[in-house]
Amino acid sequence: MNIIASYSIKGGVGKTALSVNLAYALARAGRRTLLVDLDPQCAAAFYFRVQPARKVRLKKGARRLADRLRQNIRESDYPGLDVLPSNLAYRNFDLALNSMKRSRRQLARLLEPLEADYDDIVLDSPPNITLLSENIFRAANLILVPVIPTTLSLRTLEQLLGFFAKKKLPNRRIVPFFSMAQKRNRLHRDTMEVLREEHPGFLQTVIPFSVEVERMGLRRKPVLAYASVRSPARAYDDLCAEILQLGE
Amino acid sequence: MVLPGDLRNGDLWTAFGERFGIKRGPAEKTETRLYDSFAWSLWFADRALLQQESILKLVDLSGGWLGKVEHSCGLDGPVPRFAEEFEASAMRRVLLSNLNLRALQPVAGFTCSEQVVALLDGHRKTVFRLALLQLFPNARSRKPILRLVQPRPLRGYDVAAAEAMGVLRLAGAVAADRSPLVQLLSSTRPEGTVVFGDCPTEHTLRPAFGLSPDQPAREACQLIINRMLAIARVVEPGIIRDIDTEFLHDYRICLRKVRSILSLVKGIYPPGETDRLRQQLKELARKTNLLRDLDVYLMARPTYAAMLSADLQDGLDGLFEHFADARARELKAVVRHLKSASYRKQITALQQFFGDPDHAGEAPNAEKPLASLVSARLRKAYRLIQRQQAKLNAGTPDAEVHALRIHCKKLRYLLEIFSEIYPAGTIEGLVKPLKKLQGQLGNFNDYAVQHQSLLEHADACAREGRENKDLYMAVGGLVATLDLKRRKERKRVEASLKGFCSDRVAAHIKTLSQSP
Ligand SMILES: Nc1ncnc2c1ncn2[C@@H]1O[C@H](COP(=O)(O)OP(=O)(O)O)[C@@H](O)[C@H]1O
Ligand SMILES: [Mg+2]
Repeated sequence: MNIIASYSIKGGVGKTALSVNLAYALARAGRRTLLVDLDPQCAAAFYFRVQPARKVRLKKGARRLADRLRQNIRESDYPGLDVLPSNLAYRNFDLALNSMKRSRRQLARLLEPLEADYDDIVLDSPPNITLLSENIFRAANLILVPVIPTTLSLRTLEQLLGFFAKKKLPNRRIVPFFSMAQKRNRLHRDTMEVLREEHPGFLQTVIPFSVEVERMGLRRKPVLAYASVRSPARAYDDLCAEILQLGE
Repeated sequence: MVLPGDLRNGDLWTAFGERFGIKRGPAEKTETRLYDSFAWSLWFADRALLQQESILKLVDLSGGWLGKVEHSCGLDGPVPRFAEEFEASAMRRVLLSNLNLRALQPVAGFTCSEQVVALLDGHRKTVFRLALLQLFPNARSRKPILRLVQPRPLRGYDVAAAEAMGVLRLAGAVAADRSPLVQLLSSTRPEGTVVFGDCPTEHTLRPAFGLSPDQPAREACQLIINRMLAIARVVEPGIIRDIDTEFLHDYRICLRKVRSILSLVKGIYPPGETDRLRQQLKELARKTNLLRDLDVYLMARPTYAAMLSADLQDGLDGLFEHFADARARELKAVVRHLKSASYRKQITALQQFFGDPDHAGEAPNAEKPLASLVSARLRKAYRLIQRQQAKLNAGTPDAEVHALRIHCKKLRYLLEIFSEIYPAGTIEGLVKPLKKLQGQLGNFNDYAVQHQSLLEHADACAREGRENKDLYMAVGGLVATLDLKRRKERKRVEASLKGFCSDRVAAHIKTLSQSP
């Protein structure tokens, strides 16, 4: 089972847009996929019209907790794709994790029992580095980091790499890609060139800036489901293919 | 689940509309044809073969919806006529074991329309789906014969599912534990519901007659004879249309049974009548002898191929072309015969004769209890077998072994045609070893007959200008192998015969012929 996280220290960079479209693309490729919304904003689930989950008390033992999470899984409107919506109580996730033993590995343990049901699990994360983020880093075998091609974004990527080094986490798992890139924007083009040189791990696929993606909020569907021939949709499909290749 | 006939689709949507948003997918229509053999072999094995455009599905009728799909395959042409013609697969195996040599024919047809309907919550998220399957007599019809719904709940939406099921139940939908085809093809189906096709009827050469041991012999025999003649008539069109070889096979068995009864149960008709009837039946059967022989040859090609070494195989082509041509000619002759006025007159006269119990006139055994006549014959047939067995040694001429075959056949008919008069479970122990012995005697006889007939066919090939070295060499090879097989089979016959004449079997026959 692949656990793929969409993560960035920064908000508004296209994490949720990626999770939603990647999960959709994986399912359409015939893979049984679960999208786990870990952001209390519930944006990922919103795009699939799935309501926030019932409250899950985090104090219970991990096994019981896993059962409760399983009960909250909702089948999406699309074949092969399920969604585990976020719950506002996740706000306390950090607190709760803090009180548990082996608190950095709890998420990995919670996801383990779902292995039989799914080929891929996509995690949509909230911004910031918290205890939850650390759990995500340990649970995922791939951490996709959207980077808007500006100098500021570069600093956040380097911040993340620094954190991995400090915590002795394997930074191979970090796979950045360019998000919301504007072809006509000179600054974007130059930054992309410089960054690719400094960090050869960037994905080939670039997600362009497009109103079609913004429209997802109105449509409440993955962009792939309503504008599948348009360039942003195709970019998500390409990105999905590139990731599946990475796995091989 | 089956929807009640008087419920309109619109009413169902209204009922759902009170609780859910509704999104209806496109209705997809597919022509569906049901295939089975003349004997409904698949149907009576609780299965149906459905063709929907270029897909063929074998379904289990004990499942809901149209049936539980067991196997399916794509088609790139018409539905194959014989199980043998299917590509190697699990489906082919099931078809073969149920159909054997029988051909598949379209037996019923209808139009299926399938539509998926999504039920939505307040955010227009799908929370439940149901597939609506409507069966129409044909593509133009607007009035469905039958409507089914299949609930397709979504993971995590249990509450919505419970509500939706509640709406369905309230609308009168009931769970179907058998395929709706069962109801659709039953004799109680609504008038005019299927475009073509009859109700499935069993086709068996061994129907139950409810015979009793003390029933008057003529009455009992007439019951069987009438039924056999009726079955012979039923299969005639299949022979004429050349659907498969089983029709002729069944036809011949029916005539042979009638003839056997007449010779086994003596004295139930005035002596002159019996002889006349037997002669007439023999003559009718004889008309189809050659066609049956050729059918057997054509079916046995793999067996013949296995008897010849690789370098002699080429000669088989010529020989089998000759068989195929001869069969085509012979089929025409048989069809002409079956359609002829004289045949119709004869066979209806026979049916009339046996149809009327008083028609035949007085005969010494007509009123005797059936069991007494049958038992006497049973003992006699077995005695004759015993006598032959005692005489048998390596020097016994083949002709006497063939005579044994006839005695065994009589014994078998006495046991099986009249099986109902023996206490349940008492004849199986006899029939089993007898079958084995008969198989060997049959082989022994067939090898000799085929030997002779192959030589005759080789002559015929020469007359047709088909002669060539390969063909003669192939026939030579076959004849040599047949000779070898015949000698081996004779050894087997001797061994089985000894077992069949043991004290144990003799005692069994004795109790059996006394018990009724
Ligand atoms: N490729 C893109 N082109 C244009 N707008 C985008 C693109 N990706 C995301 N957006 C928009 O940017 C906003 C933030 O995106 P989102 O995916 O929610 O970021 P994050 O999850 O990182 O906070 C959303 O309104 C979204 O519609
Ligand atoms: Mg987000």
